[in-house]
Amino acid sequence: MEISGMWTRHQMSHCLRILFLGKFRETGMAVTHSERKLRPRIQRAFMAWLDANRSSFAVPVQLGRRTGKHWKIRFGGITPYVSAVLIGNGTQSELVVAAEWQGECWDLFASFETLPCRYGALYFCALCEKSQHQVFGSRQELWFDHLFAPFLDWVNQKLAPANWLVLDDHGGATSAALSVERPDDEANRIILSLSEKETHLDPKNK
Amino acid sequence: MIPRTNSEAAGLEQSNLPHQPLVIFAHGKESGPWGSKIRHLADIAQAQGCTVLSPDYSDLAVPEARIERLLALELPPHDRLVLVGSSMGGYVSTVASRQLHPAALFLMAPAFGMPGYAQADPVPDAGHICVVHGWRDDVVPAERGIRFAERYKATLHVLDADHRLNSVLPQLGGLFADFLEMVLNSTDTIAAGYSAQARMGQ
Repeated sequence: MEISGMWTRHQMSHCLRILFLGKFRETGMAVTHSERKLRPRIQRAFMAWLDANRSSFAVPVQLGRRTGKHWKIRFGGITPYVSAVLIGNGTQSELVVAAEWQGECWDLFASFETLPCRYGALYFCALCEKSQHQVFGSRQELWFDHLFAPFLDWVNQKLAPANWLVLDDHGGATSAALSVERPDDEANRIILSLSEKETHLDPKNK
Repeated sequence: MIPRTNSEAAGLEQSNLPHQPLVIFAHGKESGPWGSKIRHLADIAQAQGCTVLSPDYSDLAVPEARIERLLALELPPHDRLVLVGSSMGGYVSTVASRQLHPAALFLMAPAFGMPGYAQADPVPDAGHICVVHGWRDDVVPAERGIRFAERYKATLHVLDADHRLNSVLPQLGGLFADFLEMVLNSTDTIAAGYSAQARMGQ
């Protein structure tokens, strides 16, 4: 097939998609519905990375609701009030862990960000300081290093050892903490066991 | 060799020059020194000829320890200082302003009145103060920023955003650029130490 210079990127993309799907059909390669729908590269990369690293998580990771830009991540056996979201917003990507209570973001626990920048065949993070620039062979490798691996560390080092979720309200300003020991009761403080069975208190987070 | 972005072009080279404005960023509790918000604002500051610093406080959970680190920094030569802080970094910058006497404070969703913070209502000491808050901020309600701005006669912007303000980054950048330009063009901020209390007539 001749592809003239007059074609738009959209037309070329459509054409290639037809060609590839045809190829898959010819060769008998399966293209599952879920794979076809995982269009954002970062979501595909996270899925692949998670499949390869699932056993490294001290707390199992469960994938929740997904849109084109956001993918909710929950933790198996852990209260749903602690969750993460993978955000792929154009070129920028982010993994944020937060505490949510009564339908509101109570506090943020961790935020990992990267802005992949292409240089030839390599990638680096444009958010990093120049003196700390590392180059990666692919955008996926950069995501692994800047988002997924730090997320794994956070889960294993901060979330896994904790037993309690502490939610404080200071006249509208809110904060959350993970605690190994049960903290003292205080006014305007909610203490929840991190284990899932005791956390069906907040109907908005069910 | 990887090309420099505009944001990184100034950095150390410019820090060797005397009489340059210095902008020090303080990141929030959960983030790092070079998140997208700070990077965006740092680009703007560097484009206006400022040297920028963004210390890494991510190993320090307590804001008082972060303030200590900020105050212990060996600062490059500068003719005026601007402190920029986000969330807990807003508290850090405000408390540190009492000793650093910056020409200006730019506070984004500053975390005032939080438990575990030594000062419930820190008093700023800066020639110009600007507060930016989000109406949809669940973590630190906009009322906190509004109250602070009213008390210290600060410039106030409340945007349609949440605590992180990332969804309004271009708008935030525009506000910061205008504020910084005003500070850099203002003759009364060259001499540091303009007291907010004096401004209030206290």
